[in-house]
Amino acid sequence: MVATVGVYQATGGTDGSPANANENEIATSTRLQTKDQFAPNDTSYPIPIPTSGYNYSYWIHAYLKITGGTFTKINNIKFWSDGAIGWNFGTNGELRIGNRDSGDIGCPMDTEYDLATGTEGTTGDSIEDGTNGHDYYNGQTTPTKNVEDWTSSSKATVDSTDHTTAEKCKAAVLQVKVASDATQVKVKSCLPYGM
Amino acid sequence: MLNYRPLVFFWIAEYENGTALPQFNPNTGEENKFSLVDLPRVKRFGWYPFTHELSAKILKKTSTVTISTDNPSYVVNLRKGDKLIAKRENTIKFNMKGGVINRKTVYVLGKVGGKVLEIHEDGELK
Repeated sequence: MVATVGVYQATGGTDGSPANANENEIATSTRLQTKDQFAPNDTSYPIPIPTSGYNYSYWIHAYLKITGGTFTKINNIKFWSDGAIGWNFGTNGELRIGNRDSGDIGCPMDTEYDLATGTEGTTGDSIEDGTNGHDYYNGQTTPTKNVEDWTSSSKATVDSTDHTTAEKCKAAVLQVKVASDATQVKVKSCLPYGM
Repeated sequence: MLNYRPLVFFWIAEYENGTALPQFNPNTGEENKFSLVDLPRVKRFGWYPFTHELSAKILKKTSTVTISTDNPSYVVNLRKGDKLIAKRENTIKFNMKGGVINRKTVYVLGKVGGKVLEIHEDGELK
């Protein structure tokens, strides 16, 4: 009839084996920050605006998890934005999503989970970094894309798998990239997930 | 709080021999899975609104909440070889500063190569 599906974030653990899976709900939303943790109310780890170059949030794995219900099949999971995030990330700054050169852009969970790393309180490692980046993406020709590039008229396919049992779907890997001329503001961003 | 969108439409598949398979048994509220539909034999397929009575039976039988409405019904007629498109598209808005909000379901109906309807929960077409 209906499947029970939530939006979860994986943190901690080791590559291929996250330690935690927290559900995003109305009052407990994920926060992009400079620490690998699910702590919606913790404002201790903002992303400092750098004096030069870029700072990054730790990347996050956000995914749909089918936890129960009665259903035949869930598939065709898409990701898109309204095309106008509204945050001022500075020159070449962006809210980005891990990208693959072909096929689904989602990160298979838990097999391709890559523990987010960086320097707490300062910057995360870039998804694209050849050494410390996300291993599922950093070898791609285009390892990330600007979230604003995915809109309702051009949706990203996160997961085309047919899910017929309760399990995790592939994850959207998100990260903020902040340039030295970014400005600090309080805004909201909506990132629909469709299936 | 419910952690799913209540259904506002259910499907009925009508076969060429005059029989039909409804998503919910109108007498008991029991559900038939979509995978039970014999697609090559379907001559008409539709999304139909729940009645109060059927919603009550489903709730009693399966503890699942559905919503009865006065929405119109939507059907598609199929000829031999037509491929049905019937699915529910769910959208979850994931707001970085406001959590998961505004879940909604669109009921899709049509056939490959033909007109495809996107029916909102209020019964309106997109």
